[in-house]
Amino acid sequence: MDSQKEFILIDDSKIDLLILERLLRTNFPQSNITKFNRTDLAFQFINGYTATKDAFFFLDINMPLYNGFDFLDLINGKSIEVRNNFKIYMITSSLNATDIARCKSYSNVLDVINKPINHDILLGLRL
Amino acid sequence: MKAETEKITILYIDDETNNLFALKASLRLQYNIITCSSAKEAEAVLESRNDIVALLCDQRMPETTGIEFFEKIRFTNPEPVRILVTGYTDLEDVVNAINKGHIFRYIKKPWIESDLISAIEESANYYKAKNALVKQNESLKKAYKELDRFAYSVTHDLKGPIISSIELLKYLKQDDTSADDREMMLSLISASLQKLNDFVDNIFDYYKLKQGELSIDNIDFNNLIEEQKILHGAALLNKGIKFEFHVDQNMSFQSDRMNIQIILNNLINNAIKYQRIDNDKPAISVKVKVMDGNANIEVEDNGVGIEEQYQEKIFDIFYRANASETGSGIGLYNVKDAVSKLGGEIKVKSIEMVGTTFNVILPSKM
Repeated sequence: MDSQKEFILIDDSKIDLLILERLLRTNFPQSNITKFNRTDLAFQFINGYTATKDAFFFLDINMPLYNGFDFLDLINGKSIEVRNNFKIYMITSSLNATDIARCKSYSNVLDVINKPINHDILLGLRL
Repeated sequence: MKAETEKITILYIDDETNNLFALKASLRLQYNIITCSSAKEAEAVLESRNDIVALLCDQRMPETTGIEFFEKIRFTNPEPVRILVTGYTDLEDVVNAINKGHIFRYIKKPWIESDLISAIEESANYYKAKNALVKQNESLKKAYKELDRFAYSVTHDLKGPIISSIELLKYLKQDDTSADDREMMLSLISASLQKLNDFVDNIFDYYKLKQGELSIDNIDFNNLIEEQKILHGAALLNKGIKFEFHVDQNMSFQSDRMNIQIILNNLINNAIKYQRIDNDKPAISVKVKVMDGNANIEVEDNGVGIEEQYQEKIFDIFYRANASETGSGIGLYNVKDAVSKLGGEIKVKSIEMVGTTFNVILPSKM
C-alpha cells in the first residue's frame, strides 16, 4: 500500500484531532498530515489549496464560525480539475439523517463517519 | 354602520341575479359582499383574494351545484366557512353534505334575514377560532423545531467530550505511548471534562432562567463580586490574570440575585477564557455604579476581542464567534436572557486583539 498520503484534518476539537492524527500516523507512517483546530485558519488554507494528487480530508460538521458545509461550499467553488483530487470524509459526533443527506449531496464527499474514528473504521475507508 | 375595515367579506354565489341583488341590498351595511352568478366566476374570485370569511352558495345552479362547488374548492380554499342556500326539495343532499363535513350551515330559501345574519356571524366566529388555532399550531411547530435544534446541539456538545475522552483513555493504556504523550493526553482529557462541566452548568442556568420567577432581594454588589472573585480564583491564578473591581453603591438596589450572578459569572468567565496567549499583562476590570435607580455594570478585559461582524450574533443561542472549540454558545445567550428578564440592557464594545467591554444597565425593582 502506498503510505505517502496527503491528509488534511479540520476539527475544532483538539482532542479529536489528536486521536485521528495518531491513528493515521500509526497506519500511514510516511503520510503528510496537515491539521487545523481553528476554522478561520483552515478556511484560509483551503481557499488557496490546490491538490496535485489525491488529498484526503477529514472534515468535522459542527464547528464554530465555519461549519463543515461552509468548507464543502468553498471546495465546490473550485475548478473540476482541482476538485477531483479532493476526497472528503465528513466526521461528526452526532449523526443525523438531515446532515448525512446534505453531506452526500456534495460530489466530493465519500462518506460520513461517526466519531471517534478507530482502527477498524479506518481500515474500511477508501484511502 | 361598521367601518369598512372592520367588516368581514362574504362571497355569495347564485345563478339568479335577483337573489344576488336582494342579499346585497339587505346586508351591504354589515358586510363586504361580493357576488358571482356561477361557480366558475367564484373560483376566479377565490384565487385572487384571501380575505373571504364565508361562502354562501345556492345549491341549484345550471353547471355546478353548490355542493359540487364546495367539494371542489374544499382543498384549494379550505379557509372560508361554507354556507349552503337551498330550498326544501334538496334536503337529502344537504343532510348528506353536512354529515360529510363539507358545509357549516344551510339557509332555507327564501331566507329570513335574521337567520342569515346569525349564520354569517357564527361562521365568522368559527373562522376566527380556526385561524387562531392554525396560528397556535404554527407557533407550536416553531417551538418544537427550536427544541429539536436544542436537543441536537446539546447532544452534540455533551457527547463530544465524552467519546473523545474514552478514546484517549484507550491510548493511555497502550504501552508504546511516551510519557510526554501521556501528559498531553491527560491535560486534553482534563480540559475536555472541564468543558463538559461548564456546558452542564450553562444548561442548568438556561433551565433556571426559563423556569424561574424573579425573586427580588437587596443586592450588595460588593458581596456579589467578591463571590465571583473566589469562584474564579483558581482560573485567574492559573492564567496570571489581574482581577480588579470597583463598586460605587450608596443606595439600596433591588433585583434578582440569581440572574445577576448568571450575568457576572458568564461575563467574567468569558473574560478569563478569551485571554490572549501572548498577553504579558492580562487583566479584568469590573466596575459597578449604582445611581438614579439603575446599576451600571462594566466588565472589561484585554483579551482576544470579537471581530466586528460577529458582535451582533454573540448573544444568539449556540453561536460561537471563536474559531476554536472553547465555548458552548449558551453563556452569552443566558446573559442576554437574564438581562432582559430584569428589564435591563446589554451592549458590547470590542476591538480584535485589544479587548472587550460589556456594559449592562439594570433597573432597580421597586
